[in-house]
Amino acid sequence: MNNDNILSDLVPIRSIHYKPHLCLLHFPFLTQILFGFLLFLVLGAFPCEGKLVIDVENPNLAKMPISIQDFVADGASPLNGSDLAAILKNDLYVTGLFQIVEVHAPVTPNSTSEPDFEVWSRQGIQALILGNFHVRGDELVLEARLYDVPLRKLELGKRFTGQIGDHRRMIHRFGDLVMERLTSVPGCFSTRIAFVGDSQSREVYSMDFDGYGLKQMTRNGTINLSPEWSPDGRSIIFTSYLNKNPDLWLMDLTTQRLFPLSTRTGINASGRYSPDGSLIGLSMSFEGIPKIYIISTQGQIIKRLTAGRGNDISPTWSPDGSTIAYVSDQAGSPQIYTVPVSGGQSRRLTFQSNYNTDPDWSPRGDLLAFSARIDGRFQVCTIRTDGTDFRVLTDKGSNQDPAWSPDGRMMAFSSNRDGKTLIYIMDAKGQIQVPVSSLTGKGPAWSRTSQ
Amino acid sequence: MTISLPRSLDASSPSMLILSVSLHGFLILAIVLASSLLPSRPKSIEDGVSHVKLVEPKEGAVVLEKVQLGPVKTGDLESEEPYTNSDVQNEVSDTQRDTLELKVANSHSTDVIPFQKRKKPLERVDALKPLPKKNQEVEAVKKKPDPQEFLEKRLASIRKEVESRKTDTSSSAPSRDPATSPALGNHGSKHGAQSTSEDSARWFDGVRTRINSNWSVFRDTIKLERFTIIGVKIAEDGRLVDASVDESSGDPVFDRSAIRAIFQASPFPPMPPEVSEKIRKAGGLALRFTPSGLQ
Repeated sequence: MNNDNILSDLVPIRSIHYKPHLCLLHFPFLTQILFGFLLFLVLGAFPCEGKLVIDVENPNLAKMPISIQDFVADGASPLNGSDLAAILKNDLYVTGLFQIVEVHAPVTPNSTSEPDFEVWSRQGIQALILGNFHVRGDELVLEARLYDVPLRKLELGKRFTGQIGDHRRMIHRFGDLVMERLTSVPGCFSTRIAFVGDSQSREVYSMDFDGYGLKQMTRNGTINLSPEWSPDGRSIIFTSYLNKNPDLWLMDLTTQRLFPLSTRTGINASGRYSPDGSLIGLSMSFEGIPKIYIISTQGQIIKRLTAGRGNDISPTWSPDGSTIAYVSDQAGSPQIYTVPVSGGQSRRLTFQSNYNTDPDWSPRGDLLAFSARIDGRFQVCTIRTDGTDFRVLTDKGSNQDPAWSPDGRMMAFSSNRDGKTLIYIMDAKGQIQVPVSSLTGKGPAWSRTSQ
Repeated sequence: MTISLPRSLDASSPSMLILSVSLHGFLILAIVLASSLLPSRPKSIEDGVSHVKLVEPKEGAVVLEKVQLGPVKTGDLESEEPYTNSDVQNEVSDTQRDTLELKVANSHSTDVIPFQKRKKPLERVDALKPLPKKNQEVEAVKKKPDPQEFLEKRLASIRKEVESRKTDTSSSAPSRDPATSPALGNHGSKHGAQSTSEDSARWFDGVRTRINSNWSVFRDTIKLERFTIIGVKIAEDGRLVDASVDESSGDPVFDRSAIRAIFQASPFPPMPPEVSEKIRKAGGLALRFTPSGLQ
């Protein structure tokens, strides 16, 4: 017995556990089922047959045909429906992306009826904007709708309520949303442009991006220069001779109070906020010649960024805040250079003209706009940040001080092409260039935030 | 107590191993055959085109949203009169809401193709060449870093296949056309196949051209490597029945530009019977939109 037990313990394990019939069924079947199931999944995900595919590879770059109908008033109103539509038409036109088609509605649309898409489709319209409004006392209720004509559906519908005086804002806000819906990037029609008046007293003004709503921001009777909006839109900084020295001042837009930011001997010029608003880059000459410095928003010097023999002015931040482009004459003529904010070697970017100045880094990061002297006059140019693809965007008169819109689609600049120096805006390719300021002005700065 | 087994039937014995391996092999083969045959069994074929209904860009359904026109900071030099009513109403009249729902272009239908089906690789229609009759599967469309490269690769493979098909059709022709004598049948059926191929090539090319000429994108947001695949359903009379995104580019605006082009290009020329047959066999028709031609 004992012996047997011991023997049975010593029997190889495999002969105990596998009986012949189990060996056939059990072992292969389970694994086969598992394996087969896996294989089926794999083959199910990648079957041998598939849909027929037609490749379409050559899109048109034509502007989108869009029709904006006069807004329809419900009842008597001091506002004119065609004036309201004209605001939106101008907004979309200046982006350079739309062809505003002037077609009149076959049937006057009202607030509830939907457009006859067949009619619009036959006219080649891709997007259609209808709106209606009514005024009760001082209150304005405005409703606007964007339709996708080929898809025959309502893309966007908004209702705004406010005071009559806010009607431009409402339309601009709707335009921003239309841009977001049609191009995936919100528009910048609710932003403002600050600039310096070009009369004896150089006060800072601001206006809507389309030139309306002009406001005088400073009243100090001295020379003010180079305004810049804080990224949160609550303040502006500018250089002013208020204390007989070009100092950097900050104006709180809520309280309208002025604070000195940098009053060091010599120039404290062209202050520019870092994209996150925590730092200010500027050009200061208290150590001799102007160099680029970074200061805190309280005015303390964080570091000096450039060294050497050149006059370094006009800093502008890259949108990631890692690099600053500036102008230096270290090579004899003013040229644009870039330098890492963390410190390091500066690199010359422009070689195309013997006088390049006023750089402004695109919020999209890929382009720098600047003014270059070509044939004795300044022209607004763009260049890629690697120094390639140099383009001249203007050709009439003298054009200076480009400033990008926050969506990177447009630029504001000053031009004297029609005699007076006015603020113009243009699209990023320079196809559409229109004057917007009613005053003579220079040094535009485009706000980063919507009002 | 002791289990005594013939040594030869032990699981590790050579005979059992061979048996096991051959059984595995047999079953795997059976499964491979079964699964490769299964998907070709058309499950939801209507009008000669299988109906593909996929995730639809949600952009379509638009309901008035709330706009927060923030109250203007008081004392702000910039500000004019602040809004008295910063609450923006967003109620829509019921009538309007009804019309909105009606206007959603691609309303969902009930038959939804299972996930695996949608992942099917796609055949490319090269409209300029006569289309191979069968076995025209090309490499699966996978997201590759360089679409140009993979398009070229696919084109090359198609060319190769077309070459091999040329000899193929002539050799297999007699069996397909038993009525004619072998000698004449060879020549005749080859000629017939060619003319229908030309018909369908013309149709596919017509569709491509029509859609292409209706497709516009915004210059400033072009990314050349982007592509979107739109499944379409076209009735035999050329009417567009349905178009929906099979594989999104990730940018709803780009996807919509493609769908818009298809809608604008419709109706298409009437579909030759062999085209609808071809589409039915393949399991559907799709359009791949990529701005790569702008390079």
